Amino acid sequence: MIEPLIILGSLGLLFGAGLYIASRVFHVSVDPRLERIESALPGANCGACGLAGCAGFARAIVHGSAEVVGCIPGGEAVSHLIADIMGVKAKEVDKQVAVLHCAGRDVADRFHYVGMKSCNAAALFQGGPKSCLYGCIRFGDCALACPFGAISMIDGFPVVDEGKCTACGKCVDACPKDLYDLRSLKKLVHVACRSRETGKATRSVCEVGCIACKKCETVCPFDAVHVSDNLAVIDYDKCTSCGKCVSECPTNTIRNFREERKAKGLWPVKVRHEKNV
Amino acid sequence: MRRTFKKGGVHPPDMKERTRDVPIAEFPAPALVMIPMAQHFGSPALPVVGAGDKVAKGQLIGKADGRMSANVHSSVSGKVLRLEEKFTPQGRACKTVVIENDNSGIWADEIPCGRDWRAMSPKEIVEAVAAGGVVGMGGAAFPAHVKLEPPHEKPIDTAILNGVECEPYLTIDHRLMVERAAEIITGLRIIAKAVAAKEMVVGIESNKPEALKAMNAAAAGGGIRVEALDVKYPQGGEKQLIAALTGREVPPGKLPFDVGCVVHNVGTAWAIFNAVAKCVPLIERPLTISGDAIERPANLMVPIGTPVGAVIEHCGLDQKVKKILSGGPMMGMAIADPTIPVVKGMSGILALKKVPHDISGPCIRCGRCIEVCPLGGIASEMARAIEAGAIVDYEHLHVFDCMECGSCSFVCPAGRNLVQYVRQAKEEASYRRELHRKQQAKKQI
Repeated sequence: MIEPLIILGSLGLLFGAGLYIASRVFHVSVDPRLERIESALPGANCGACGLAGCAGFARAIVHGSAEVVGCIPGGEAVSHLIADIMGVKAKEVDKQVAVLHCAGRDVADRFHYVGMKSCNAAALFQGGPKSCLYGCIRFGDCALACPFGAISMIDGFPVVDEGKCTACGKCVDACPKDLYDLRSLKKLVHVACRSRETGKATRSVCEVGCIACKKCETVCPFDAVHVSDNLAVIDYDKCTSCGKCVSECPTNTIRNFREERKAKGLWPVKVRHEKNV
Repeated sequence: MRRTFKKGGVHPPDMKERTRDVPIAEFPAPALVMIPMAQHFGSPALPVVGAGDKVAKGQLIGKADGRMSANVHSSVSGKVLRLEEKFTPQGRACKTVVIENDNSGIWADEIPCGRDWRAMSPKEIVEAVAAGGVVGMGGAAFPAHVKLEPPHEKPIDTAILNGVECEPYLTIDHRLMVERAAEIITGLRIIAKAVAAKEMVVGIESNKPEALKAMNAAAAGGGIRVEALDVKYPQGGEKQLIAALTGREVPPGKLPFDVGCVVHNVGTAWAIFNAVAKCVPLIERPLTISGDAIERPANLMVPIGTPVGAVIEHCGLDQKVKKILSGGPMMGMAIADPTIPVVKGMSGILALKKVPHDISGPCIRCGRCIEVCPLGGIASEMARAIEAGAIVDYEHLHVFDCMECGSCSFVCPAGRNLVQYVRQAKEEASYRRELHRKQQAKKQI
């Protein structure tokens, strides 16, 4: 009766000692910050930071190869948590959202398209079935690509829910017509058109397309809007979202997002105080 | 003994009766031609004329940009009106030279000429073919001079002419073989000389007895074998034709060069003959205009750059037309705009009253697409991968080996647009590849 207890007991002691020695000899020091950063991140593994998932981003921060504000979906809150963990000062985070540069809901088809219901596939064939070669094809590749459910097809046209949008940039990648841009939530005025056709050609296919009349260029007090290649383009370094061009635009191509964002409680953007650590 | 390739294949109704016996007629050059710079596989040609320039018939208007490109010549004499971005039948936009025809028909200097190709060296032949802007006329529009210059480490023993014409409706290769057999056979001899091939074979499907007779007569006593092949689609595919004629299999990702073969279409051989023996560049191409919505089906010799609408008008269009195709019904592309020009790689124009319903349902796992794929591909899985956005799978599934013959879409009982899925997978995979390459480069910095 006593023998098995002695044998098992001594075996236990032996292995215990072996494990103890092994843990000392092969010890790998793990930065405790790594785990804390990982738990602070959203864990969506969306890849918007440009690294392999949240774990990869955490490693990059600890190594100093990524900025603490790099997590786009996490935004301000996460940046601060990480900044606290790393003991550095977080730079101001500018919340961005995806902006769709097309409003051509009523653009007709040039031909009857039969085939895969995908914008990317349709665009390969003569630029897609829509009369406007620069506009939305309306099969919703962007809505499919959005991991946060922020883009929905309403009456067959994509609409961005800016409350849900985290500016991960998947829609920018997915759109074959390059209709999305990531813009600061503070910027309220946007051109809802990408057509580089002449005014006449654009007008013939779309009611709300940019006709390159240059009224916006004339009215802008900050020299922020310029018509180049038949399209009004806003320089956001200069734009103050005053909205003068919006009321001047004869085709309602330039739009003001102020009211819409106000209604959703997204504007005015809350000002955050810089934190010293 | 008749032969065919072993793996896969389908038997679509051949629909060739209406144009089989119609001789090739000249199509009068239109008032305006629009000549795209990208009519071939590879980089687009660079335009060498500007608005207002006078051009003569056969004059160089686009210069090949590198080796994998082809010269482009004016198909009429007249004045360049403008250069514009325009869609080609392949579905992409490129620079297009618009020329107003002055109807004088004046040729450029030194065209046509009389040259003895027998006195020319292989290098001179390749140069003449490149100068003439000859590209593959079977559909892929691969620059012909590239196929005439095999790499040194890959000797060629067999030069093959492709007279299969397995696409339904099309009869233009058939008519060319019947009417211009001697020129085609000379073209084959020129090809064989350029690549130093000992053996010369012509593959023709047995549903073209007249072509077989004419080609046999023209090739008599010259060491050329004219083979009758069993009818099966897609026998006109390069790899399938090599398998049918020589029993050799071209491995995935390899070229006919790798098994000692070079394959040219009979139309290409005819164009090579013109470019080498007569200095005439590729400025017109034979076309079949057919389909149930065409009132007077025809085989026509059409100047490159002629709007498709003008050709259809010439043959009479039924108002009940539903779809217009460039090429055959299996591999052809739909044409959405009648001003799209005729290009070097276009083998026919079809106008159809009936089009398949867009039923595209879910895959029912019947496996027919796998049975008929001549390359042993798994179209159903490729489609599923693209639907799921499974980028990793594309290369694993060998999407780049697909030649888009359409056999899978043809047999799919669920009406799935399988070829389009694969085309999309190719696009996606090359985009990801490029992205990956850029990221790697960034990491190294």
